[in-house]
Amino acid sequence: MKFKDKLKRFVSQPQVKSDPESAAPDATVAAAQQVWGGMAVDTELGSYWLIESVFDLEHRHGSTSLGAFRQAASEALSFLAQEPKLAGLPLEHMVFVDTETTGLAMGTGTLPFLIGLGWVEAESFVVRQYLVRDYPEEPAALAAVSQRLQAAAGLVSFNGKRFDWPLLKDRFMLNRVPIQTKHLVHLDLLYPARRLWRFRFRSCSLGSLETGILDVQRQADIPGSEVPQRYFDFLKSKQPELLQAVLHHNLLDILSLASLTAELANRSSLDAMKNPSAWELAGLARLHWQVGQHADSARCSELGLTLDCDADTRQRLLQTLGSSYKKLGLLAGAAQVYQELTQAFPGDLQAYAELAKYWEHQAKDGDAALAAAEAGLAASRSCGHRRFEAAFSHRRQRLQAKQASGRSVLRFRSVQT
Amino acid sequence: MSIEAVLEQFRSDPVLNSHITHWQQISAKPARYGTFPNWVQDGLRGVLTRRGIEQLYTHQAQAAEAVHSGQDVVVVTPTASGKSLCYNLPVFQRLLAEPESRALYLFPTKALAQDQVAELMQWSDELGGTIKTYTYDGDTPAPARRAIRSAGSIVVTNPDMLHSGILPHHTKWIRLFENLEFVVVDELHSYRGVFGSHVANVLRRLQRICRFYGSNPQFICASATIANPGDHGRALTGRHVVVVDDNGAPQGPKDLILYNPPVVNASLGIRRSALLEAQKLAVLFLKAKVQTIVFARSRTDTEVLVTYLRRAIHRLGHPEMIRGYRGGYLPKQRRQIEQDLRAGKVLGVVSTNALELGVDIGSLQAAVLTGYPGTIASTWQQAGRAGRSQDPSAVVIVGNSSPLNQFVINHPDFLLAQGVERALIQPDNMFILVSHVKCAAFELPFEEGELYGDDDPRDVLDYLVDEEVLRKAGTRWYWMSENYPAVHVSLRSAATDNFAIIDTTDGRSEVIGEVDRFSAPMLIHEGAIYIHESVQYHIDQLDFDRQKAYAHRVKADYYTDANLSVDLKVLDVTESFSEPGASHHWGEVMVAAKTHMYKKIRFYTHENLGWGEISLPELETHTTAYWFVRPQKEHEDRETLQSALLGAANILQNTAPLELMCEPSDLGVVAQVRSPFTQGPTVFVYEKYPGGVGFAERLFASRTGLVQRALQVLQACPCLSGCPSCVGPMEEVGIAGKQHAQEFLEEVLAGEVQR
Repeated sequence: MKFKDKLKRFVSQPQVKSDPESAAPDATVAAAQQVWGGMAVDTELGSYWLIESVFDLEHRHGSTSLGAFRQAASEALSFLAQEPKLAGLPLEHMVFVDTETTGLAMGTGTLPFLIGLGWVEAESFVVRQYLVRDYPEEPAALAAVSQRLQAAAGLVSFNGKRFDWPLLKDRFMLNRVPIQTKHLVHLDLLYPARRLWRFRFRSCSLGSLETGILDVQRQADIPGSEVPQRYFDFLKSKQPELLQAVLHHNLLDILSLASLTAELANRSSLDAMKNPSAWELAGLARLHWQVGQHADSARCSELGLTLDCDADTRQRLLQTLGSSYKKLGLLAGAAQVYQELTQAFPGDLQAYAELAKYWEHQAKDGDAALAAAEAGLAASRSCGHRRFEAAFSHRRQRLQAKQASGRSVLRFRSVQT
Repeated sequence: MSIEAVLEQFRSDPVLNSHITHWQQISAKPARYGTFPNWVQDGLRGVLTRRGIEQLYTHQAQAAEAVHSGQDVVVVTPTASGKSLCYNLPVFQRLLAEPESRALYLFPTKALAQDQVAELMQWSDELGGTIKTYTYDGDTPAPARRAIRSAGSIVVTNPDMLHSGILPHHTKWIRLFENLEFVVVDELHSYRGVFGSHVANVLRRLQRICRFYGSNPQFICASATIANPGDHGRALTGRHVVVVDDNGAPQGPKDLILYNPPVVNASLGIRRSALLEAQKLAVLFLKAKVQTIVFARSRTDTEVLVTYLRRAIHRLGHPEMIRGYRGGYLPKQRRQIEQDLRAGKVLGVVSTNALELGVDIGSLQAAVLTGYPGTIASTWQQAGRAGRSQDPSAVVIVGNSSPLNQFVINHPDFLLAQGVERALIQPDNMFILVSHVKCAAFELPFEEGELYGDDDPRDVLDYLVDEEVLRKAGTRWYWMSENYPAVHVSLRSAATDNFAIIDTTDGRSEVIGEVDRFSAPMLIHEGAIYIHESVQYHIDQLDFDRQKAYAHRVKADYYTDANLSVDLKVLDVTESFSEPGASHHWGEVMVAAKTHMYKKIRFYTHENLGWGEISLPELETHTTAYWFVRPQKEHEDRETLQSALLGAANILQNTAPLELMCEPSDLGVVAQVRSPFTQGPTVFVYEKYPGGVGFAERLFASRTGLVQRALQVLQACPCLSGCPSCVGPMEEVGIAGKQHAQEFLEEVLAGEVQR
């Protein structure tokens, strides 16, 4: 009823609405300039708002300087990121990208209303923020972004492979803005960060890495979840103050990307690391192991075990070390590691299994193998792990049978002689 | 034994024969062929030849020619008449000639889409495999999706997936949309009512996206026989479609038998179960080795019948000779059953209406329908499952006790003399329209002056600006919300939101069923006994805001009956017509429903065991209604009139669906002894879906026909003074209720020639 009435009212007496565009543009522009800085840029496709911030390369953002990432070797980063195309690329030609959007839903109804790009230019770190002050400004802003990206060697983002970049590509297409993207190498820091630090920061969100790694403290930051509504409020009132925090948030994101790249590069190999921590070494050891570099993996684990660390990390280091030793053929060493695991972590069922296998097949010590299987069986019962319980019980049975038949053979022989 | 022998048994057995209300012999029709199109490539022709197709039936040739000449087409022919060839032939021809071209196939269900794709893939393989065919639905694995988006020549999907999975991501589908040449909409008749109104809007959105990418696909629709294929095709697709309905497929002689189970309780008008009777008749066919399909009304009935039939014929052979077939079976299992049916390995199949649609199972010799399927169109669809091209076949329709069934079984002309129903949709229903305008705005901003459907959507867009969902900037309306609107719009649920019933017995937390918002106060108020699959549940708590009811199992000796008071106000009269006995109208109404209390009634004795209060909010629905007003008479007894109106309203609720291809639960009735609006005794039939989907207008168009039908049903009911099958139970309408209702309806029809 209400709705139909409303429609009828609209049909009969169209409301005259104040058009925000027509309201004294100069005053708006002046106010915006004061609050945001920057300026309106007029193009053939319309206008958008551009804010440029220039930093000294020595400018410290948390633990490191903005220019530090340039010294990093792209080969090492390429290993950590598992992105072969990155190797040999001059990092100073990469562009850092971060967007603020009207929502997290993928699909064509989500608008990236603020696109921040950062790069090194003339011995400075430049951040340009392309702001869409209202929907019709999107094509102009996108065209400018496209132009800047064409000149880049690649992109650096945080979770950009799943979010920012597909979204931007959709927008380029929707707005018919031409862009070549094939040549752009994309370094998404989320993945190397996870490899290296997952054992310390479970979520590996940019926020947690800022506090834990970069030592960046944000003051009065706007939570990402409030950004869309803030933008909608701005659209309605056009008060530039509403977006101030969003602009600052986006700027800090870009700066953090630069610092994070440097921090990751500095830790992307054992040799590059200064004062590594045990949990980083655990991450690196695991990566080396995954790609088949078992000796490197063992070195990382060995070093990690000499450092102070919590029990979880220690267990992970031991596990990785054990598997590396096995792959390297250092079977006695591996057995020692598994022994240590079962002593320190009685719930580590895989370690019992490895030990039992070692005693049975390598050391050929049936009694020790049986003892390991029995210990494993007891451990898997106490933690209620059915699958392991069945496996150990089967193994024990087999070992017992083997021993029994071994003995009978012996007895038979003794009778013969 | 042959089918003739079984039919002879029907004729000669005096008991069996006495239950047959009508026997119709439908004569055979030879095949008629059209000219084979000369534009078909040799390779493609080879595909047909290998399937034994040397010539095309008239409708196939006409349809293929119309598509080839660039027209939008709707093909209307019965089951198993070679309908899919009508679109596959011209589509494959085009895709072979222009490999960049794309086609989108829409089927109402995932299962039907998967059926079709198997056939399409075979064609494609025989043609060298260049035409890549894929299904794209909720089951498609993520890695395959990318390939389908860029390389799928034919993408087979369903409207729901198009709505929520494809259109909102159209940039990912650029290859499809830029090159889209054909949209195939099969089972057009199933897109009716609320679902059809939604789908029409999805197709509007599809065409909007196509315009954006510069394509303008042709629409090829296929439908079971409906009365208005051209209008329906136009309403659904927005295109002027050419109707091809000259069915050239051959048909053998067919015997159609209407069978009414014997009465077991005359005063209550209760007959022997249609399910058991259908079982008995099916066994006659099966024992004679006649391949038979039995249509059941529900999934449960299907399973029950399979069990019964297997038991009954166990001496004949393996139990696997009788199979069930319904939604919920795995695709692989269904394929196997279809294959075994075609190969004759399965003697009998029991199905829900799942096999009414175009699944290829070949043709069987006999069909037994458990109850009238609800529409004439479905009846013919199901009957069409029996009858190989030239061979004789038989169809038996077994009536149940419902008034609808009793009417149909006793009025063979209803089925045989008149045409099938019209499929109705109302794409401009306010609620449906607004939902889809939102989705469309999310997909692409609206431009000033842009049409949506046939209209300028400006009012809706401005309304959404007011609601702060859209933003008008420059000459466009943009989506301005974090939400993804398609997620909140379901194409299939009639009510916008359903209530879940949760079984909490012994610490369980299991959803056992759902009821719609408007039935919730009646069925799942606190204290209600809710019966689900013959298990009783006591409703402990109804959380109206969260739409959940918590219940536990009980064994009670009573059931509950809530008193619903429905108040109906007329807001606007769209059209009126005066007949000698009454004036008829349709228009917009506001229905306010409130439940105040409920009764506890003991089973069998029907003693009232007490009352309970219900405190739930009043529910208002703005919708459309049809109503008629008999002029006021002086000195009329108010109670007599009350019982007459109540009885008339009850019977209309049951008979109105006969006109509409809808369910009785889609409609509500209200009787007013002296309506404040019309000032006279009035019966309203309103649509339960907010805003209505065109039923009220259709009822108005048939007006006296509708009332006549209600009167016929009443007269045909064998009960003495009212039963649930006609005017309602005597307790409700009074001892003379049936008589009063009959007199009232006769007055309304005064001056009409009565059949």
